[in-house]
Amino acid sequence: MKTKSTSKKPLKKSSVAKGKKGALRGADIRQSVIEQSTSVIPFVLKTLFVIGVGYWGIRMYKNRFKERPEISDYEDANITVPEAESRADAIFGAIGIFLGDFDTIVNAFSHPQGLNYNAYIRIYNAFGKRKSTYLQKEMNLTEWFSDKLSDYQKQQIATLTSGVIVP
Amino acid sequence: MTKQGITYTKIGIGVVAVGLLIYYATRPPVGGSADDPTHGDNDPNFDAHKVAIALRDTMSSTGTDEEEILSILKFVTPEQFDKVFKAFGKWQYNATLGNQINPLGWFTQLPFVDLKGWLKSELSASEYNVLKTKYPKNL
Repeated sequence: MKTKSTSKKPLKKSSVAKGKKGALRGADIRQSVIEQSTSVIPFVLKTLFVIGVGYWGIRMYKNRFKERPEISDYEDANITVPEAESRADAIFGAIGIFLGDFDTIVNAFSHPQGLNYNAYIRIYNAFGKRKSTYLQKEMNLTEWFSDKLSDYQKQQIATLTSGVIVP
Repeated sequence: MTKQGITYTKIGIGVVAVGLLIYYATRPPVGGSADDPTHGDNDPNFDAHKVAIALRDTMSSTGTDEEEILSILKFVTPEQFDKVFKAFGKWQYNATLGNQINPLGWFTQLPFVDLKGWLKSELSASEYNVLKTKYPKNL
């Protein structure tokens, strides 16, 4: 009975050389790819950094606080800037983390003759943009009111301020 | 460009410049109307009597529509409210029932109450405080 020979034919010298060459070329290509990749990394990092800085800059610009202008044709604000700041602080104290006493917010708008337009604007500007916790986004006065007050309380604020501060 | 073309261009620029000047000189102040919404009584169409009647009608029936009261007074300045207060005068009011019904009409007369009394009775302390803050002179 004939048995099948398992031994393979010996490779020719030329094919061995070809294989070696191929392996060498493959190693070269791999090396080249690694080198290319390594050289690209700084470029990618720089690009990502520039994009990141640009995005951050645009976001900061878009989210910046835009002061509302006082109107010179109307009578001057009947409170000073430090007064406006303390009123803004009082409002933030009442609304900042948990909604406190609504009367505290209302009383921050009190004045013997009633606050005038430019005084409301002064308080709005003094409030600026604030956040109570690290993760919370910064909000201006109307955004805070809008976020924390009920619809009826918002209506009360709108009536109190004659529609100057509408949450 | 021809001489005529240059002349027309100059005229065009002049017209645009004058137009811009007029626009910026006459445009209303930024962010507000011509009249201060918080003070003064510059609105010739404001009818204090009409506002007073609207307030009385809102409050005279049983059950108070607080939102309607706020809505009526939203754009009423303190100076205008002073006029409304005077125009309202005094009306008979049943403070117990919060309306103008007099169950003992044969024997007694309801007391005459001014706008301050009506609002104080119809609104909660907090709601009244809002109006008192806006109209400190009258409330």
